[in-house]
Amino acid sequence: MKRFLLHTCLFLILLLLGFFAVFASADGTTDAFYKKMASPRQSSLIVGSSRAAQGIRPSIVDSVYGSSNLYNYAFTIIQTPYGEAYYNSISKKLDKTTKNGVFIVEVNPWTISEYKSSSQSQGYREDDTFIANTHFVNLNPNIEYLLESFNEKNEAILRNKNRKGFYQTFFVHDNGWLEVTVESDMISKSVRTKNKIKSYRKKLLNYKGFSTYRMEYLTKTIDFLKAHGDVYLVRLPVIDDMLAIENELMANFDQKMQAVAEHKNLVYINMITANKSYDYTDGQHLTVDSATRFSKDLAEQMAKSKN
Amino acid sequence: MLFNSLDFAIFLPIIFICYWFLAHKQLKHQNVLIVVASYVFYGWWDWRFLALILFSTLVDYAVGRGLSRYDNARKRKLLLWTSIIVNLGFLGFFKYYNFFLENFIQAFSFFGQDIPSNSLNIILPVGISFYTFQTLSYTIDVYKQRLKPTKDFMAFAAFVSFFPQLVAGPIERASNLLPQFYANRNFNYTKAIDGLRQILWGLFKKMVIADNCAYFANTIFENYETYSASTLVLGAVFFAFQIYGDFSGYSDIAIGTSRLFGFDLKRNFATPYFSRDIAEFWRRWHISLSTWFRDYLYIPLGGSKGSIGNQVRNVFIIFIVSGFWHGANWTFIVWGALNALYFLPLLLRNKNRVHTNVVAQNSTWPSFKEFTQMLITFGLTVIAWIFFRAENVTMAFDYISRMANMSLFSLPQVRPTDLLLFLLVFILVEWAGRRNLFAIERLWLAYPKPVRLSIYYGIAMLIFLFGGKAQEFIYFQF
Repeated sequence: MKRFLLHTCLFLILLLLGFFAVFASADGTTDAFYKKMASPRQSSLIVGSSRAAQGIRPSIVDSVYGSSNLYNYAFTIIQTPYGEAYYNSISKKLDKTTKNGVFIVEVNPWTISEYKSSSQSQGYREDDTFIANTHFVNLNPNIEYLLESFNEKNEAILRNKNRKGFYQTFFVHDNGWLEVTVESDMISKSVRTKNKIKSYRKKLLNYKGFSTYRMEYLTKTIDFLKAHGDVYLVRLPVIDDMLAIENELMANFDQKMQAVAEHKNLVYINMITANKSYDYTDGQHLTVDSATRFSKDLAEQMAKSKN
Repeated sequence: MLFNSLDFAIFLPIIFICYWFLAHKQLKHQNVLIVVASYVFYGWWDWRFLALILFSTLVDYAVGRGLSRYDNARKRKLLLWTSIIVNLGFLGFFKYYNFFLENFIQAFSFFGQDIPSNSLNIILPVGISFYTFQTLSYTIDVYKQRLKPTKDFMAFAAFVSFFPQLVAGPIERASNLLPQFYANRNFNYTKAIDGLRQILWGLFKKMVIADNCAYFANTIFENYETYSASTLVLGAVFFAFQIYGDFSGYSDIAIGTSRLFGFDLKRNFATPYFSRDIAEFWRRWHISLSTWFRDYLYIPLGGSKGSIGNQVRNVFIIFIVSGFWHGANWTFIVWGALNALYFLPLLLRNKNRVHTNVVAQNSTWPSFKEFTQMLITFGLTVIAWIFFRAENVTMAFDYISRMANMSLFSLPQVRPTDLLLFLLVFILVEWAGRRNLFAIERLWLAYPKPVRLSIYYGIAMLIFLFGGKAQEFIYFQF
């Protein structure tokens, strides 16, 4: 029996070391989220949806605004509409000792809306995603995430590493910024935009619009972050067709955000008005070049409002 | 609790340590531990259904005790029927109630009679078809006086609920498994290592072969109208490997796990896709179920004796009942009937026992004739699997009809290189190990230990890297 246990344990230890080596090589190429769940606690955060994940470059904001180590902790509308799950995840990500952090809270009508079928008693759509299910968001390698929430086979961790910019269309930088490189010719862009508008038109039918639950958690998130530094409420630009859908979803969204900003004594930077100045991959996500310009413009607005 | 889950990876070592270190001094303690572990294992899915197993155990134990007390034929028959009605009653209610109801309603509405539907939202208890058949074999064998009824309730409860084979077999006979709960079990290094090897191979079959095939088979079956004939053929082949990898993989893990605890379960699969005719296939596929039906249904009906009419009837009964055992759907019934049609010509020409040995017993490769026979048998099996996998019979016929056009000679639209490579290696390893109880049982034993361990390490890493995300075992739904 002792021999059996010894041999089995030795084999298992070697095997676990092999598993660990694979997990340890996971990085920004693994998937669009892993890196954000495997970075240390942060003192300054960008939170919100995929528009912010791709559209706000922390390094640019840092250099223009003067903040340091801003970290992009935005995901997608599936996982991170404002709610308990995202609130908990943000609170785990934030270094609680921070006193003078900078926080960009990206908002758009989808982030404070709810599906027709959702309700507090039945649970919300993000409750089944990694944002709610990952207890440890600061571990590297984050084995919990890789075991429970990584949707591909583990070989993809190794396979994706050498594919950046070729087969691989995304890359998460060390500061959490999600760089997405897709075909930038007019035809591809127009097809993607058309499809996106079509899918959002369809999506609109399943939404019941403004959610008091989500609004409550947006204000809760703001209160939480305010205790650790300056908070900026930001709406990113989208094309007119997308804006029209969002106006149908929530006509008075900007007034609502303005009211929140006034109530919480912070600034609401609505960049929708400058939507013609930027270029989009699909009508709602900024291209890499536009993300760079937008981040600079946003940082300038933030700096102006601070003064 | 799934065998391919983290829960089981934690559960198994804990039970193993408790079994050999804490409970090893007394057989009774070991049996109690097995019962407790088995109930935890089963309750992990839904603890409410533990009551069903417990009730089934109590009824069959009491019936067994009753049969030992009475010589009166009427009383004995009454006891037997009590067990049959209770066990098949549960199975019938949980598995077949809605099927019969829906079909009755459809039949009546065909004659212009509209009946309101009162179908129930019934959850099928995991593994009910397996443990029901296992306990039935006990009462039938005791009734027929082939087996002495047990007095040891704990041993009987352990036999009914033994966790490695509780939810998807092999369906053990009481005559094989129950006595093992009476005998002292001593740890055997070789047996345990063998068990680990079998678990490893089972996990490879399930996670690398079955789960990856499942992904493509599901894609193709769910969108079959959009694919070329050659892709549909590939989809059906993927499903054939999915179901084999899934089910035989489960059996390997079950048998391997049992060996860790000192038990020997019966072999359930014997490289069935290397069969040279359909009769051989059925001697090698899901052996524990086939032999159960043979012993408790086919032979009592008269088997292959009697008039040709009776033989044909018996073959159809056994195959259709076997199909229906798999699920309450016409697809399974047609699958069973189709296999009966494949089997009948062999039986009627008295050629159903031609291939009783392993193919290419004394050679490395099969002869051309054997290879052709294997290919034809596999082809027939794949066609039958389409009924098994399809949502309904209409879809199955449509799927098959779409396989017969000129696009059959085009390149399939789905060509997963990794998977095809894995299948090729898998077939070669299974071929090389076809004479063993499981493919890698003695395959590399001639190699030095470090080489052998490196191979096992490689297999484990392949499972880790290429294993599909944990999917339930197909046979859990049966």
